[in-house]
Amino acid sequence: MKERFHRLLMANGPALLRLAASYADTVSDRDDLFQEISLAIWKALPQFRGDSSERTFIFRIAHNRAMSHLAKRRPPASPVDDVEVPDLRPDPESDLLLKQKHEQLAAAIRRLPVEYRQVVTLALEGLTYAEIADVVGIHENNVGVRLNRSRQMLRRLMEVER
Amino acid sequence: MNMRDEFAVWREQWTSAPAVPVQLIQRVERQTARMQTLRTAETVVTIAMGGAVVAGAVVHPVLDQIYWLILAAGTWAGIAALWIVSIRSTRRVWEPAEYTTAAYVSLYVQRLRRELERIALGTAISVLLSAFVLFLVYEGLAHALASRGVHMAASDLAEFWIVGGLVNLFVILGQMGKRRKTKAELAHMTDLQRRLDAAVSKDDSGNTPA
Repeated sequence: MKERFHRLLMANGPALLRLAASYADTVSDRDDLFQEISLAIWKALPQFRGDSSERTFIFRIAHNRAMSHLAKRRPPASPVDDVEVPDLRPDPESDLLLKQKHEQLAAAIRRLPVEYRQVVTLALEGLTYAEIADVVGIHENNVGVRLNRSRQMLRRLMEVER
Repeated sequence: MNMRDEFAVWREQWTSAPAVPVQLIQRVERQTARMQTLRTAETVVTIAMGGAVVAGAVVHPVLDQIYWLILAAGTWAGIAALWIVSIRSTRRVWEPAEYTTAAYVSLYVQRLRRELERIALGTAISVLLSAFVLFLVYEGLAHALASRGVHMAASDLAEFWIVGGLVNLFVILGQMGKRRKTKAELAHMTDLQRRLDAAVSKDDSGNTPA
């Protein structure tokens, strides 16, 4: 089980960190949430019976933890709150532009209402509508509706950011 | 730009940011801290031991100066060999090549491999150095006593040999335990690296975009 846990975390760690970053204001907050998610996956792993894919399983846990994290941390952030996750680790210079683009997008995503943030982050991670519906617990049609609205909001926010 | 293109661009931007699992970063940082501590310890030992034999060669108390000179030369040769092993084991592994999970895992694995080499060579050199020092001190003492008319056999300094032997035995046993632990960790990490590579190539070969 330990091996399986490590394998899951290694394969999905970057995606989980990005997901945690979309619900966190700072790097340490992101790291805390990531730890909480890791712990929750570790605890839930024995109950996993393969009813869904491993990816859906861990994203569901991650989203549940993210919701709890948001709830216990502070009142829900206003969608227009300007938050930043500064990452002070050194980057190669060539990655700077890419990094800036990512930060700009991440900042815009963090300003989305939670229900839209959920679907858009999962879609960006490459989950299908069916998988997103499974993770979030809504109908597939609703996923499409939320995703369309998310796109419109995100487009506006990205334009404001520029 | 249509909606699909726009989303594809966002996805690229979203997944482009390198992100390394925190636990992996923490493990690598702990490893770095251990390497720095070891380097500090090596510097202290070099100054203390190397300084002591040089001072001995200058002042030459108890033993004849020739013994002190040979002791100083041999000790410094041993210290130099240990430094070569140490520098080789840490060369270009102080930080990851890039900020990615694969780079961090690769660094971790590379450090463990170097550590195994360092343990084997370092232990061999340390034991040889220790045997050399013990032998020379014994010879020097025997010579010093003989010049005063006192002749002694190896058995007259049984404690000297027993303590020296035990110290070396403990060093060897300790390093063997460390080697076993490092090997187990290396096996675990290389397996993880293999699985990670497999997961990445599987991910690259086809995903399910919304």
